[in-house]
Amino acid sequence: MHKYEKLEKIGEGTYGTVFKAKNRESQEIVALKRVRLDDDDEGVPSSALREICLLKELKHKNIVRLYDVLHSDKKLTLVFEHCDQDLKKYFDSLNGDIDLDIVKSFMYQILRGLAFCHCHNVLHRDLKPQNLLINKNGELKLADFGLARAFGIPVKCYSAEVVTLWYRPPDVLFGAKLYTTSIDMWSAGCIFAELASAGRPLFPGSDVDDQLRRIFKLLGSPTEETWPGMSQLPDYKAFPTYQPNMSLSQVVPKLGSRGRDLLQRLLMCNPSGRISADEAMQHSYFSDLNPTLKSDR
Amino acid sequence: MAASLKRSRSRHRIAAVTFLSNISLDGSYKDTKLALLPRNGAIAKPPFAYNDYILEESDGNDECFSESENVPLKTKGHVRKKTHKIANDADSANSDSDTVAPPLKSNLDANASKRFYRERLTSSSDSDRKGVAKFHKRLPHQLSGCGDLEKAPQGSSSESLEPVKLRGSPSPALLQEQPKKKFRIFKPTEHSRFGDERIMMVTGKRIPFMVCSFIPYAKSRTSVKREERRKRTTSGTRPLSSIDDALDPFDSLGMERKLEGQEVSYGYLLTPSHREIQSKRPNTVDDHPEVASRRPKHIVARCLSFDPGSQRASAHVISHSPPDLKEEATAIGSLVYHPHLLDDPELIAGKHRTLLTFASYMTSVIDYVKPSDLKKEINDKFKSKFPHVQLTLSKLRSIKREMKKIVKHECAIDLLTVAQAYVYFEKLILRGLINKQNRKLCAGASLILSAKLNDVKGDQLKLLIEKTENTFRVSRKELLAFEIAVLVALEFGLHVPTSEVNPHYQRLMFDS
Repeated sequence: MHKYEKLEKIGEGTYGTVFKAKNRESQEIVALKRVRLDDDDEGVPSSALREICLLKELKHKNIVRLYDVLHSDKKLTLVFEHCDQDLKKYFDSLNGDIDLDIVKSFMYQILRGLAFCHCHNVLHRDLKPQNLLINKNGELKLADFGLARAFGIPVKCYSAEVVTLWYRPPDVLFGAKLYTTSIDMWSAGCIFAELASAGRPLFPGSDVDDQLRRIFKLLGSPTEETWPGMSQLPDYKAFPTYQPNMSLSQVVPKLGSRGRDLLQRLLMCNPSGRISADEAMQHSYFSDLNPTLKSDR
Repeated sequence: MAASLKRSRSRHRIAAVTFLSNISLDGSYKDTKLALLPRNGAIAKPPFAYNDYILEESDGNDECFSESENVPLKTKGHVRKKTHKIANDADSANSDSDTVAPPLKSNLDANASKRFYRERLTSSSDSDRKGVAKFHKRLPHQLSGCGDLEKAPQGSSSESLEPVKLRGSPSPALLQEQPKKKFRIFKPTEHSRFGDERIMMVTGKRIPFMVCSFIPYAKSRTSVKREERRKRTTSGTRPLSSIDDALDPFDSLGMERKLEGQEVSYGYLLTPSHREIQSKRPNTVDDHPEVASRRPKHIVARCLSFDPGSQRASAHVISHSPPDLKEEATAIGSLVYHPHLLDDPELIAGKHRTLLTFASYMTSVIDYVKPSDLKKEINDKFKSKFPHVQLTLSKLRSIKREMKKIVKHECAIDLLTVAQAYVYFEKLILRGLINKQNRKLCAGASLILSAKLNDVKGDQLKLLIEKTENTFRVSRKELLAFEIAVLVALEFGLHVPTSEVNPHYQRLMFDS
């Protein structure tokens, strides 16, 4: 650890500790993720493996950059680009008020990062405010690819234990083991609503049942007509038929009708009806987006 | 025609007999029969001395000669003896009857061999001492008898030796006369065959007194067998005790051996491998001077071309020239792995195929070919296509089968994991990095890496690692050390395009 001077501990990741550090030569600030390697364990943790192998292929301005991998006897150090804070911390600093242009800008950047992942056959599978990093320039980057995976060949071997509960789509909550990019789009929808309400989580469920109940109470219970095949999902259970008693305008009052329309398309219980990242970027909600941001690729 | 064939056969036999009988067993050469071969058919008129031996042998311990292979010899012996003693010896006549009724026609039951052992143990003890001495003398002829039997399994081989005398053997009535036997004849049974194995006879006290080997007569057959044995590359099942002098995984995969406590930077491997070749990012992370200088030794990046010549050169020669980034970039760009490149599914039939093109249809005639020949041909073809690959196609296929077996029968993991592991393993092979020492470790590591990227975790992953250890007979420590080495050798390129995995997957699904 000669190249980097450790500055402070940022946090504990899914594996190992994350440090803020400074490159001694270039003075560049980086984030170091340290992964311990135990011989008699299971080798390289799969989360580290995923981050290395997937981030290697995902070089995009809205995806956190992996600069280096350092290997020594007992540990692996991943050197990431450092961002000032994550979206969660940003929310905490807001005091319940957010500029709607920032909402639009962040949402667009989330979708752009996702679109890049999806077109490179990568599912993030753990989108949440803590995993979205922002820097002083208002740039947003998707981070923590420890749960990400490749998709392409449809096999029913995907893990159903993915995505933090609050951002988990109903199909995965019902135990779906075959999902696609729609899994990330649901999470993006939840984050969109959270952005628009300046950090109030949309579905802060306490367990799977509570989570589903909260979703269905807001959006109305899906039926076999609106979602064919729902009852065949492994963990399906019948819920009372909730009528959508609250409109989205009550939940996200600040969001205009275009924004609400986009949110509606993201929060479709039936995964096949969910809008894709590319389509979402073309949504009329973004028509008045700052053109410099739009052209900036 | 037949006569000449017979003559040449007997010439062979004589040559064999001479050879064998001239091997002195006690070093004195008194027991050899150098005079046995004056001309063709000489055996039919053996010298007197020969008969003397036989006469001696007929007493006491003949039951020891119970293998069916011995029969023709005894036939010889006793027939001869009879001609000298005019069959006034009831015992010898009887023993003739046993032997003349050839082993294959004899009505010994299937348990004969078992009985042989029992009886031998009880009856031979009194004549042990005698036996040891005599068998020395007999052994050569015995072996020649084996040859006869092999050649003419109907038991009629003695015809060519002594046709007339044999036919003048005792009448069938005499054959039935005395159940008391001096000889034991044992046929091979379902359970015990006298193949080309060594037969050892022991006394009642289990002291071995005779060993005889069965030497197959057919020349061609033995040569084929030997060839087969040589061809098969024995799988590298190294004893687990060799862990101490374990391979250095990085060294083994053509990379710099890591020193204790050293930290190696792999930032230069973090360029996207597919789809787009981005402009080379300046390495923002400053390397250690020594790390930077080590970089050119990472030859993996530069042996991506499938031109066999260039690949061989790059795979084996460690360049000390400074890293040529441009070369590296183009190499990455030219990396066109194809799932059927190495393990071509078409490569199952050799040239033993005649394609007939008719006006309206085509047909091919596939000759029967020995599996061993076909295997050799396919492996040769593979070898000429990929001279830098230190692995035969049949070995590659067998390792792939094992990888599939680990996952399929034992871990209930999706075949997608196997298909993806195949891609990793084959890429390592194409880079010329796999050899006999590391192939199992690399195959196992590929499987584990693939599993980890396919949501295999917890107990399932533990089980997989265990099964991999057991199937490939490698230690966990080595396996996991190779995991990182394989990861680096693949330049972290585990996220492979669907088009590289899918053909393997479809093939696996089709086969299962």
